[in-house]
Amino acid sequence: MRAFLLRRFLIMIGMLALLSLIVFIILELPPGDFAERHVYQLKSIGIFVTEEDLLNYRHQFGLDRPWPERYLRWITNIVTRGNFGLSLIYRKPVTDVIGERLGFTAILAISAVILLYGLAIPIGIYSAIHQYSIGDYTFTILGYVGIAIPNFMLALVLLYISVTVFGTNVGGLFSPEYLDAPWSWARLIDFLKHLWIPTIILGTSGTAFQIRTMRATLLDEKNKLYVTVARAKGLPEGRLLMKYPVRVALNPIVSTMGWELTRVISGAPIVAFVLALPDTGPLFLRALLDEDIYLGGSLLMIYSALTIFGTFLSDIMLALLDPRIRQGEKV
Amino acid sequence: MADLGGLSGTGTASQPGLRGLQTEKELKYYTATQAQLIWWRFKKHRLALLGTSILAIFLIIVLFANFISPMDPFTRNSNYIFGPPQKLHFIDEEGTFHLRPFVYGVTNELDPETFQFNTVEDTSQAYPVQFFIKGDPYKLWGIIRTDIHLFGVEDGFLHLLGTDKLGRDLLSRAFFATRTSLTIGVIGMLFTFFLGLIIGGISGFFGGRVDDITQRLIEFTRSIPDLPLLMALAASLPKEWSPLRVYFSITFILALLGWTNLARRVRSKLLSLREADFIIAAKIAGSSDARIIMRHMLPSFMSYIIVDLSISFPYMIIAETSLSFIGLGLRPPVISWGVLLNESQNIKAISQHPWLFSPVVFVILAVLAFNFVGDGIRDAADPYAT
Amino acid sequence: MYKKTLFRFLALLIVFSMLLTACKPSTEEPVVEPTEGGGPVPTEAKPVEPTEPSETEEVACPASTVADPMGVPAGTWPQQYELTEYEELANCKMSFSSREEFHPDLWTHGFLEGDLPPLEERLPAEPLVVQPYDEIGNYGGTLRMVSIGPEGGNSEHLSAKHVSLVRFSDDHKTIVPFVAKSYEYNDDFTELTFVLRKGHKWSDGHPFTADDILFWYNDVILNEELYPSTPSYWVFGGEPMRMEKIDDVTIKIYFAAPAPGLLTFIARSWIQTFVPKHYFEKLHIEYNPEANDVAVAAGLANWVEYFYKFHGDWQDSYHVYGIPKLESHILVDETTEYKIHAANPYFFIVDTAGNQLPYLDEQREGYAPDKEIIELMVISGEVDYKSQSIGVTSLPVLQENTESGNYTIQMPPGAGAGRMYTFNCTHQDPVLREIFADPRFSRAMSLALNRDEINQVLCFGLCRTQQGIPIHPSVSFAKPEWYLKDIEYDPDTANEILDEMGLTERDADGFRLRPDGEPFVIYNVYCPQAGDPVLHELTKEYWEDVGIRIELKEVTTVNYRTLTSVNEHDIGNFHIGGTSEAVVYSNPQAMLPPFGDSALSAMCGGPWYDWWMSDGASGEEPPEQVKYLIDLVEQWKVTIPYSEEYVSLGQETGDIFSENFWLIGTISESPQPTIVSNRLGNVPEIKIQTFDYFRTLPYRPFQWYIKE
Repeated sequence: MRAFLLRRFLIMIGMLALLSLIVFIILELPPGDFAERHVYQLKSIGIFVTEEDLLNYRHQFGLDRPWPERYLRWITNIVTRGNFGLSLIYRKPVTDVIGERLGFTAILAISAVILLYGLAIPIGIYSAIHQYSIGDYTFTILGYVGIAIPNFMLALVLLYISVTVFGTNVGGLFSPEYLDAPWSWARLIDFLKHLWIPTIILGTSGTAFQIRTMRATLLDEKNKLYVTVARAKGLPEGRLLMKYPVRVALNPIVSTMGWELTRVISGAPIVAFVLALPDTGPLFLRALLDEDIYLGGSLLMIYSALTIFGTFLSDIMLALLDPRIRQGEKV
Repeated sequence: MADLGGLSGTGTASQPGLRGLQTEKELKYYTATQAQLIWWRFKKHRLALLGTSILAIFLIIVLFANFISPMDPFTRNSNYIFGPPQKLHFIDEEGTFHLRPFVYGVTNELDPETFQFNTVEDTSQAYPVQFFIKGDPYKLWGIIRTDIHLFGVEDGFLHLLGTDKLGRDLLSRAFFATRTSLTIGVIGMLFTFFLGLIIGGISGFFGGRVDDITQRLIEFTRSIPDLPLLMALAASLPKEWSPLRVYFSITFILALLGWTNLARRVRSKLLSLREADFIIAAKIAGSSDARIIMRHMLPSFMSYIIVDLSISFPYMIIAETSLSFIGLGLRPPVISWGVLLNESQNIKAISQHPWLFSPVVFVILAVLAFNFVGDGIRDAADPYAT
Repeated sequence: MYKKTLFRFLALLIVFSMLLTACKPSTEEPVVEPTEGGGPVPTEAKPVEPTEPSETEEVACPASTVADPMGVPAGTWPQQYELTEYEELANCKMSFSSREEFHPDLWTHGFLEGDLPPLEERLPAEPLVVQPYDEIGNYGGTLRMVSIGPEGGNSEHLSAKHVSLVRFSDDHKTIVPFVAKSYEYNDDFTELTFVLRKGHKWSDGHPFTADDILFWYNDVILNEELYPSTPSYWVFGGEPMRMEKIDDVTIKIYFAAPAPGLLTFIARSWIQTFVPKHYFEKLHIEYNPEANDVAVAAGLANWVEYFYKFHGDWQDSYHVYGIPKLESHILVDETTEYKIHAANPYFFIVDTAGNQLPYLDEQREGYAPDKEIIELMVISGEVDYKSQSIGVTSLPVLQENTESGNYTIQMPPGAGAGRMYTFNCTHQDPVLREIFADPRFSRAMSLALNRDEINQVLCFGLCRTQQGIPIHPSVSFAKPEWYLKDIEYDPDTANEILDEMGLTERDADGFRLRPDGEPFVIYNVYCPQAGDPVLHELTKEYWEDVGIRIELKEVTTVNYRTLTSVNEHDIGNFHIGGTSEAVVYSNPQAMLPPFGDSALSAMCGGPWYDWWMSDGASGEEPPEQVKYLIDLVEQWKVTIPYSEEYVSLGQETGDIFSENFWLIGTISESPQPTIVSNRLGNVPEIKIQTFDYFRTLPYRPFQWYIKE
């Protein structure tokens, strides 16, 4: 067991190390750098900038040093000090910039995932039981429409409606007067008023896929022999469904939950950008667009590390449960 | 299996067979090939049939975009900038009914105070919609030079979905966008298909070390969010490439990121099939590897692959539109769904020119159609279906 | 299998919560020296000690305004007076007053400790007295603003709290004292003297003296580690200017060549020419030998990177609490979503009634990454002032909602040169070069453009159709005919000219062929950052109508830049930045090849530039006229603004452009819709909306206030 753990751990460390390098390369790959982006921004608003300004900016940001040197310092600081570097956009430590937003990232992601499964599971069950019914068709169609409409477009339309019809403040998760206020009942209400749009958009985009999975597996299960046996024994239909096939059908749903959460956390930066949400999404997109390699790289590392570390933990759990894996056998 | 798989009851003349009880229907059923069985069951899935017909229409749009568009997608109607969709009329001012629909002449003038366009229908000018009418010249498939369009009006103009900021016909643009985006989607799907099938196949068939490495590769690819990868790859395309070449590279990049799902699916299917009874039986019977793969393995997981493909289609489309949003995907003058939707991505469009959103209907229909067909095939190929 | 992923899900949550607790936001402070006072930090607003009533029995000063001067005659400078000057002119004695409370975070996040000294000690001995536009404002309120992001240049709101030695007054011509009490050039413009205000203090109460300016120049600008090359703004006659301290409030600058443009530059720039020495000393290697170690401990390469964490040309390019400022508002709260600046208790300006400015308690700047969000915020009345990143295309929506959003739209012009095209006159392909360098070709291309339609489509007809001259029409010596030459829509003449040039052969599609019989295709490669791409779609059509085939391609700004900097482009189409008088005069690069900036937005003539810069060693020798132009601009640069020589040389420069057609103009830069909330007082009509005069600075935002 110890040998297995060590091996898996080393693999994980290796993957993380490789990942950090690849992340840095991915971010260095597009031509230009933050200094250049900055100068274009100035130019595009009609400011006269010279080439020598560009060189001075590049020097100020330390971008005139070769990338392997910058990579090494970045990764060394992460490992030795937990210091993810200085964000070029915000000129603050990356940990501060990200730390400020982690809480809301979690809230948004969790509420989106709750909505997603709260919708997908009951609808999936309904669709499977009433296969080819009008309800089944309606939900199927609605689900696919949810997939087909680009999220960022839906976001702007919903935002426009909420502002013009409901008079909510624009963007973010709080009205300005509550941004800095301590938690109170009024602040919570204000928060919920802003929460629904991102939740709906982040939640519904994945719903169709989950409904489909739920429906398909339940359809497979409900015709299996054990169900027939239970039915023959006189179990009431509702209880029977809930007790056996639904439980089994939940498996694939549950097994994709981890991916789903990561997707919601990292996969929706454009929506978050359009909605000016205070989660890490807009930071990420901005960092990518403006080539803030330290902020972008750190976020990318965090997103990817979450996945890799999650795999590592689940492998350990599996190994604890299944002796065959422990001994390095193939399943 | 009392249900005869949606067999239509036309064969009434029952022939006396060797065993008198057997109707022609039943005979047909028991002797049908797998493909026939699937088709019969597929026909029962009404949404799938609907999807198939939508796809057929899309195919026509893709093949004949120039012909069925009432105008060239770049022709500007400078008198009708941001023009709302024209109404098709059947009943004129006097209340007379016309079988041939017509539109009224419309003026669209800018109010210099509010900067909004005032649209006024001039009921004195009616333009009946005509078929096979002369319009903007074009070359069909780059060969046939003609100027006949499926429909249009003479002298006036016909904008059934309105016009954009330059007064270009949105319906025509939507048709051309359909051609671009669907081709991208389908080519991307095929790339994905081959990558996923080959990598997953190698991984599953050889197993062992190869499998280990591919699994790590998949895990690795999946652990990096798509967006930065797409951006890095799209931004590093050589700048001297033409928009067309960029267009194909983008589909390839999309495929490069989308293969992991399918590869996983193929691999796990192959691994479990290797041990399945009927494969072992085939092996014992002395079938060659090639025959086993083609004849026994492939059919039994084809339906899963098709479903995966139909799921990956919206992914392709959404990725294309998202890339356009951040300025890296297809860009004007190329016309694609992403390009058109991007033009509607602003407050002004929502509040003043909502018809700019109409191309999204095409996107929705395409995604629906692909998924309905995918569902239909899955249900039809499902051995447990009743 | 599913269990595996369930655990993965759990693991994710665990990691997540770990991260949550690990990354608490922290206040950034230089770690060299503890800045805490040690005592308990007060969290409540500090009451100010009551001001002693004036003992003299003289008349209180009249609260004159620009709208109603109340008989007070104008002083040396428009709309502002020195204290003694005002007291003399109005025959009065001014007594000062201030707001009761200052923002509590000035103590928690900042540098203030204990009770504030009385107002008299906080104001300089000679405060600047300004006349408000309409009325004496009341203290209080928050100016709500929004920008797309926190980096320098995204925020026009910097100008709402900016200070500099001198600034432009709202006639955009007169340069008036600001932080400096007075300025003076010697007769041949080789020496410039600034006199500061006695008793002027940084926002932490530390005296502001000539040393802070010397430190900025000698230890920051001239430090080779901080600035490997001295920025050209401080270089005259090939040598960096020299600075000398006469006494604590007097500083003298010497130039190797006449530098009449420097004052203009200081007045219009966002660069502040002073740095709090007492704060930055400890970050500077020459004053603190351990500066490098501190930087390395903070995870940076060396002291230079660490120094730049606290310093930059743009006043929003660092985000640290507690840096002493002279500005009207001081940073007290910042997140990645917004930042708040609160009134500076040591601000050096008072109104005519003796109230210490600013009136506004706070300036709050939110960030909305998407321009559409900014538009939505404006129409729902969440923004008090906004101009940057709002374009004319938004006008229909903005105009429709003026009532619900409670704002007024002003439409001042911008100061850019407008949208222009250049056919690369130094193209690498000799055949194309011969065509493009021929002014007849550019003239034909210009006549082929339907500028009225362009104006209508891009600008609702609000722009001006014009020819391409890198000099703004508002410049004092501009000749109207420059802008009108060959701007009529005349495709027939355009065709004739092209035929006359020998481009008569055409291909099957009706496009002209090159003289050597090859297909003639011009690639118009553009990036969206340079302006609405619709223009290119229109011009493609116009040019194809006269038989010139155009291929469009959109690229990223970086790619565009690479293309033009190596002279591989057919068409140049990027912005030529500010062309208003202040900019062309203090930095006339747009008038010289390559008519933009050499590496960032070359239009044409890159090889000429290389030749000029390398003294003929590389590049290509330019035609005589271009050489003449270079000499001309060099001469013009050192003339005295508005002098006879200045006008005649400037006009000759413009004439050369007009003749040679290096630039083809389309429409002028569009008006810049400017949103001013109706609750905002003392905001006059904005006459020009540009960074060239630093946005709102000429309109004195420190006297804006929120009406009750």
